[in-house]
Amino acid sequence: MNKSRTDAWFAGEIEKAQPSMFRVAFAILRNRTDVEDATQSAILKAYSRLYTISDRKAFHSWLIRILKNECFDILRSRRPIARIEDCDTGYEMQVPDPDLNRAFDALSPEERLTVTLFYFEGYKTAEIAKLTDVSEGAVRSRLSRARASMKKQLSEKEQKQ
Amino acid sequence: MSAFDLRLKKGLFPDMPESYTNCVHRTLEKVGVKPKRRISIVSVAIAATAVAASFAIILTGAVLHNQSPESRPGNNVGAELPPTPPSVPIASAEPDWNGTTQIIAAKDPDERYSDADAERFGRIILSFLHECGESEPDELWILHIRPLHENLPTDNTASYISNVLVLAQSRFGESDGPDLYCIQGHNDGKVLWGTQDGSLGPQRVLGESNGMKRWIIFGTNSSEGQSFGHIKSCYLTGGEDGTDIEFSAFLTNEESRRPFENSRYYDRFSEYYLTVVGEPDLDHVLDLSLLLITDQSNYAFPIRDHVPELVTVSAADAEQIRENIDSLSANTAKNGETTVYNLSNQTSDTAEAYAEAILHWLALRGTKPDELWICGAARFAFSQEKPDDKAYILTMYEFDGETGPELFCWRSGTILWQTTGYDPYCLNTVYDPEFKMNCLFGFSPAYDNGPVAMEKGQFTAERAGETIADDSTVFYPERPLKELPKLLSGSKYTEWMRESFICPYPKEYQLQNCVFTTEDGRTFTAPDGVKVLNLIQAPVE
Repeated sequence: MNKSRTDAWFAGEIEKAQPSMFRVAFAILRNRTDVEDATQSAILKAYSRLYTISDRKAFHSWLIRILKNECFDILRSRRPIARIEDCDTGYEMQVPDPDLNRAFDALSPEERLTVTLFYFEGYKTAEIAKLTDVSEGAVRSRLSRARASMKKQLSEKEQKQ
Repeated sequence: MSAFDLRLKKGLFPDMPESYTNCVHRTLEKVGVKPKRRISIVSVAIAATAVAASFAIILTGAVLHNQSPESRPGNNVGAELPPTPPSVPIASAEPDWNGTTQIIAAKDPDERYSDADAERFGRIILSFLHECGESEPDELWILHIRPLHENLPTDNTASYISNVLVLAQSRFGESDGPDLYCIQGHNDGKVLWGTQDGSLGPQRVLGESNGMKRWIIFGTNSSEGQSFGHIKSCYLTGGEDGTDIEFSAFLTNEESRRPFENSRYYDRFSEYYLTVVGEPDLDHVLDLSLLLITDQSNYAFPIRDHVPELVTVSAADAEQIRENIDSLSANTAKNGETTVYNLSNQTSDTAEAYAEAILHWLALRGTKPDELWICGAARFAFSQEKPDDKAYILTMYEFDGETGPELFCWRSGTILWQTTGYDPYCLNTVYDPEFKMNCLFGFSPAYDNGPVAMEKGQFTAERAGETIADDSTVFYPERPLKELPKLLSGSKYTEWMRESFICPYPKEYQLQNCVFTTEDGRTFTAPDGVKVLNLIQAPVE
């Protein structure tokens, strides 16, 4: 494939992956500036390493993996952020369900990533395990803990109301 | 789809904002790829600014790296962009021998370490590598606290940093010493060597140079407040013919410890370089131990199998446990912070009641676990799945009515303490180094006519006819433990929770002829041989 065709293919794949990239980055970072920084870095990195991809069907997972790494790099380089209720996510629109987002925000970044990959991106636990470099059991455990934690928070919130 | 799943799907993420799309398009344009959608002139202007900014960032990163991608040895990736380091390279780092290694330190989110600390530690490692004749790394990454797999470069970065030796220190937590890993690039990030993970003893790395075997031992990692002291002599014992293998050892410059003097981990940075004299054929030596004679005590560390004995499970059991996680009933305990997982085949009521009792007992010791796992007959197999340094896991197994409760306290894959004995009529004991006490936890007297409660003035423990503890020396928890059986009323496990109390640490490690008197006047004798588990070196008084 020549460069122009490769570029066109790359642009198309990035276009398709945009919603996924946004969710993954937003799930981990919860902050507009960082989300966009991570996305930018991930795209640059993906493009520069495009030649290493042997199976283009795996591009999406590969891209998400790069993005995930960029997000965690950013996360490591900053102090823990305030909870979403205390800070502006930087996006103009409101999150659809603030209570749910508060519960989601209380999870660890790894748990938020796992939940996003499982419930929104359609990855199976084995695929998530590979993508996040943990065992499949750990993925299931994270999912379970995340669900339990969120349910508990929501339930407590409802009881207070 | 459950109501919760539905709420999750609908309520978690906002619609993708236009600003995000613009960001993506700007980035594509930056690399010369035409986005599918056209963007506005305003966006292009913003993009130009962002591109300029990102170039500046990248250039700054390259300068900090002090190497252009093309100049990196072994680099065959041409004009690729430089990789993003995990955090900030230490610009002032001057590696000890080749002048090219870049020490990169992950920022400690808790700010317990300065860059100077990391740099110092990096130099120690570099010096060691040099002595061992290891190839010089292009980059040395000093990582703290976070588990290895979440910090090291993935294949993306590793493939870029071809021929790079990456060292990572991970799990540098409260209970573990530093771990070192050597990872060569070439895509797969394969660990070439590493310190033993999950070890209670000092971490070690074996190197070899000029036919000399060398060890570096980082960190004493003994219980709080303990340290090696100064090595007076060292032996390798357990050689093939039973004789000791002499070798010399020397302590690294005390200077190397100074950066950590104000660190809570000061004691974990007793670096010893141990050099074997001669060339013992270590590959054919079994049960080799390193014996250190110090000015404080003697320490023996197995060289071959330096991982504490872990409870192992069959593959089938392990898989079963993992499967159970999916269906576990997670209950939050009364303290609101501990998550209880019931992996046993007990009803959730029974498991929860038991969990409450355990948590209460732990609370008396000032301990609050993050998670409490109630396991069934299957044994524990989570050491690799719980990398979180803060995870504090207790598990009970063999909870099947025949063998009684067993408790393990794990942190980062290390057994901190555990109960002893499977005997159904045996007291389970936990040695608490902080309080210098044995905690006697649960037993099963051989009669079953209802709950028995311990009351003050009714406890004696004797050893060989001599009273070693009585009511005046027994610590009774504030909450009358006789309430505990109520938690389990109706359960066939009531008898297990009949008594829990804490008695002073005896002068010897075994209880013998311990006589217990119950409130209704009955007495019974605990079986001899209840031992204090000696995972953590217990002081001999």
